[in-house]
Amino acid sequence: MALIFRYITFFCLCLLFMACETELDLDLPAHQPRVALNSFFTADSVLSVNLSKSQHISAPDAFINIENAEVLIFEDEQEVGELSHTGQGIYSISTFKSEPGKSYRIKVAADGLPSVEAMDIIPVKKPEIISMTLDTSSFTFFEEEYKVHFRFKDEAGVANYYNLELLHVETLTNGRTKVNSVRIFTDEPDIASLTPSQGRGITFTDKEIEGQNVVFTVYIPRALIDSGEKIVVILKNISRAYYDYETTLYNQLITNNDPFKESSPVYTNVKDGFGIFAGYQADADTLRY
Amino acid sequence: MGKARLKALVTIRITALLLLQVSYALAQSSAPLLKQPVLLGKQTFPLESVLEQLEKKVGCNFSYNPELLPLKKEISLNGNEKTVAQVLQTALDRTGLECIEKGGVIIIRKSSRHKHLHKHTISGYLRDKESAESLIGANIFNTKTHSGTSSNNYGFYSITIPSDTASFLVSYVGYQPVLLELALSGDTAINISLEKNSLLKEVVVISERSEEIQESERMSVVNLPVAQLKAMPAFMGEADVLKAVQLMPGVHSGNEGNGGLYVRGGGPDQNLILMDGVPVYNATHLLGFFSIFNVDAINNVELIKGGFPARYGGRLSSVLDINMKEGNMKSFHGEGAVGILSSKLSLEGPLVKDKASFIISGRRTYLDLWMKPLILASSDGMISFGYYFYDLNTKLNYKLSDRDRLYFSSYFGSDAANVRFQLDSADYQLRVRSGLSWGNNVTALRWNRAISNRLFSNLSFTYSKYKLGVGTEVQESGLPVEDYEARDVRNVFNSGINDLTLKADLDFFPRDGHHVRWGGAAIHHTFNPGVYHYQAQEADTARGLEKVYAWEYNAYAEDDIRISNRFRVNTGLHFSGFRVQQRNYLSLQPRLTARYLLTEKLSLKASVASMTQFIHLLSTSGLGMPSDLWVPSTENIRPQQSHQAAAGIARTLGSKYEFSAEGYYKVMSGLIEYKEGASYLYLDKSWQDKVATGKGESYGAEFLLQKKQGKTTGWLGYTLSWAYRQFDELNNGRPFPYRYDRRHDISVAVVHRLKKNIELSSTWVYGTGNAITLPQASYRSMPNYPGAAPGQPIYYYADRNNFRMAPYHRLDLSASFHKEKKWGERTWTVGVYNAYNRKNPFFIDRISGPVGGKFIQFSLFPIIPSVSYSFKF
Repeated sequence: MALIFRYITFFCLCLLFMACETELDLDLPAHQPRVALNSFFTADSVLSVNLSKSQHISAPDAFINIENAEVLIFEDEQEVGELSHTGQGIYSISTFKSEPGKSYRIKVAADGLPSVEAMDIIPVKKPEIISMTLDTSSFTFFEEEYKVHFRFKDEAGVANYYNLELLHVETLTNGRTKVNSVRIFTDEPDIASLTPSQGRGITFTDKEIEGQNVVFTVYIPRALIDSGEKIVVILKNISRAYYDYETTLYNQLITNNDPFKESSPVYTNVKDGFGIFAGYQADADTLRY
Repeated sequence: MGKARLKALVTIRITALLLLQVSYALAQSSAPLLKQPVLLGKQTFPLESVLEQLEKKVGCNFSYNPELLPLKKEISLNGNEKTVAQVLQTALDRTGLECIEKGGVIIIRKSSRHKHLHKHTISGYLRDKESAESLIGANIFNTKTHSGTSSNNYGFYSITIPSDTASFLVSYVGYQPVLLELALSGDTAINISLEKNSLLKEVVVISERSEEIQESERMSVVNLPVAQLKAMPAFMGEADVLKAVQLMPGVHSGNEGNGGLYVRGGGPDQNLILMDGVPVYNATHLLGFFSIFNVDAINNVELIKGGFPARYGGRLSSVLDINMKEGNMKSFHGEGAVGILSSKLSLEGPLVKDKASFIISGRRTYLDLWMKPLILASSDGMISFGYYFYDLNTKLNYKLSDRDRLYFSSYFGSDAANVRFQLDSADYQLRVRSGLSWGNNVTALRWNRAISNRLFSNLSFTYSKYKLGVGTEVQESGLPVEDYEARDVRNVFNSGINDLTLKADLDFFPRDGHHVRWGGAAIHHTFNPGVYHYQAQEADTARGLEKVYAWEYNAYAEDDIRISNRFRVNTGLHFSGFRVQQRNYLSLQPRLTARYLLTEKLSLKASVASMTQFIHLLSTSGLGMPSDLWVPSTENIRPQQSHQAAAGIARTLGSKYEFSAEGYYKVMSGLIEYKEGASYLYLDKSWQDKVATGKGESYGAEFLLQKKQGKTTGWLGYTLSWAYRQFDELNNGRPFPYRYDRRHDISVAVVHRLKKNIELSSTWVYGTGNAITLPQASYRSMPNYPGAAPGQPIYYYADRNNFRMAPYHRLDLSASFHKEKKWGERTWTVGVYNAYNRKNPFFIDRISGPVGGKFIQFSLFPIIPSVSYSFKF
């Protein structure tokens, strides 16, 4: 609907009046590069982070990896190790596994850049997909989708944040597999702060489903199901920082191409830098049909 | 010499003369002062000079209240006056004053005979001589007391004076003034008709004075004569009241071409736009490029930016009061125009001569008529596109009696755009139809009654509706993909607001210089914030918000009173309430405007006003899009409130120029904005969670130099202003400049009559660029999922509205050529919009490229010539 509306109005304008374009040489303030730290971490997994440099807005959208940083990880304020560079700005530590309910702080020192640090926790409760059913019998949003119903239970007495993601595992002709994110549509009326998918899953709170057994319906393109390929569903219980990052990033993505909308800054919990360092717990299942 | 200075001088002289003239007085005859001989000859000079000469020549000492004495009044002595008493008798004739001598001092005081005179009330209607159209805000000036009144929105006036004789000057911009000398034996009803200064005649220079800018107690008010409005250059040749109002100090236009009003740092929803007293919710066509008001149907336009009288309420920042014509009571007339974009026609005339009249005005664009064939031809008949807007104003006016009048008026207007796509082949057919429409419907039934010579009432029952609809229909058959069935899908989004209002207003004129108003209203609002309706073969479903019903009610009392010749105030209280979803909001809003005359030509003015607004506009862009939604205050969203103080001076320069300077300070609370990234299309019952509530602050100074008479008329306006917003949930809680914070704003408008039949006009505007938000840096985002490549870059915004677009400036020119024909008058108008082809910024976008990001400024209108033909008969 948004597209229809926008096309009509702008088509009017374009036909009516000859718009002119002028390239501007803007005097924007200089930007001192900072560390952009990105990591989503979960229990019993190798903790890894990606480090790159931020850059002035006039630079190309190709970011420079940081390959000589000192990256330390702390668990409940106790240093537990140093992450080592494994290439392309990725640092990881295999001698240590993070645990639910504990807080983790990461400190990064890199030459020529301000030191940064970030802290977050892994939610205690691991979500559970109780059931998942495919419904091909009734109409869907654009009539080109099937309904998929998920059932899960929200833990009572705790503010939970969720991210639901669908991955399409495509088998290539050479026998290898390729993973694609599936764009999800939903019109669930009882989920507050719902953010439709931008290829990053959908993120929501339990404000309206507190402590309930929830049946959650999404629409998946028929063509994907009909192809018979593997579709993996991942339900994450995410930290508040993860939630804030995903929702504000979504907001920015949908406003980036609309010059008439107010720009939306993206949440960061990285002190003196950019990016996200956030924990989650996940349950995954494969769609059966 | 000013009165204050004269008073001081007189006081000093009295003291000095009392001492110095003791010996002189003893040497004079012991005859009373009033009987002293004196010869001033046959001459004309001000009263204050007469008194000075009597002081010099006879040594008179005077005692008087300078507030009572018309010191500037020209006195004509016939040369027959031989004594002081005779001179003073001539000088004080018809002033209601007398003089007595006491203790060697001549005391000038109110006449004892005058004190016992009956008060007389003169009342009636002020109308156009030719059409009997009401003249709103015309001045009735008492030349004896130098005070007066003005006609109300229905042309009614009333003035009460303690005198048996009266001398009134009745004046109205664009009309020849009339001087009335009346001998009164009782209350008198007089309907006064004024004659227009004909376009083809030389401008009549008003020799007698009327109420001047410094004498009015009102401030922050702009009146736009319709004739001047029509004479100014217009975009695409279409004269536009909102565009003209935007040229006034303190009023900004937003973006290029936008018809939105941003008054003293306020938002576009904070303007009470009244069409014949009925609020209009969306006053623009074509995404804001044209207003809905057809100037041929307009009688009067008044904009109030501050110092709001108590009778107005419901919006924070301005009142734009537009009164439409009532219809010619005398004879049948018409006028119209044919332009590049649209044509319009107005017809008016008597249904029963001097008893009932009608007016009907229509306007329609015809972009669709020439666009559709072009697009169809260029797309091999597959695509059709059309857009048009129309307005239709009608008004019936029936004189029930000399005291009663009934009006019925209506306005229908709508914009409509539609696209059709059609694909036909042997085995596959597809038809897609999309449409977008929005429009207003305003209807009013009004009953005026002059209950007595001093009391006037107006009872109104009105209806106002704004609606928006977006819809798409897809019909598909013979799909080439196996297993797919033919389909027929429709989806529609609707939103809108309806108001039903019952309103009563009373005007009471107890005496000269005193006008009391009171009244009240009850408004029933129906909000339809947004419903999405989906239909397919097996489905018929709707989702979105349910309608919200609310009651708004208000009552006011307003007193406009002249406390002394120098001091005049308009004060009052406006009470309003709003009941919605079991929640009741109440608000008491004090109002005060005061004027103090420092000299005859210069006054000091000040005002304070509190305003409350119970409805909000949810806007996703700065474009004034029809998709902006009206929503009510709720349990969680409080009403908007503002408090504004203003002070300034007003001065008449010579006989042709008026100058005013005002400073203002305004604070606002309860403002709402979408949280970052929220959109109207996801509006559901949790919309209140998607908006942030905040505050606003604005301040500035406005200067206006106007010339209203002569061959060349126009104005020069300058505004220096600041406007900020602060929302806890936006910009990390830090204050930020309002998008339309405009530091400097200049407007020049000139209309020059080159010859009797040729009129040239031009406007030039300059404004500081809009404040916009641009990113300063970018960084890598988290990959979409484990193992995926990094996602889109994330842009870092240091602060909201951290960058200024280039300044906006534009010159428009036009020339009108009038000619009288046997059947009436025709006018050719040629004009140029953006005469020096300035590429003004409309928006700025960032485009990524292999060598880096760059910013592109998009401009909308280059130089656009226009020509239109208009006629009237």
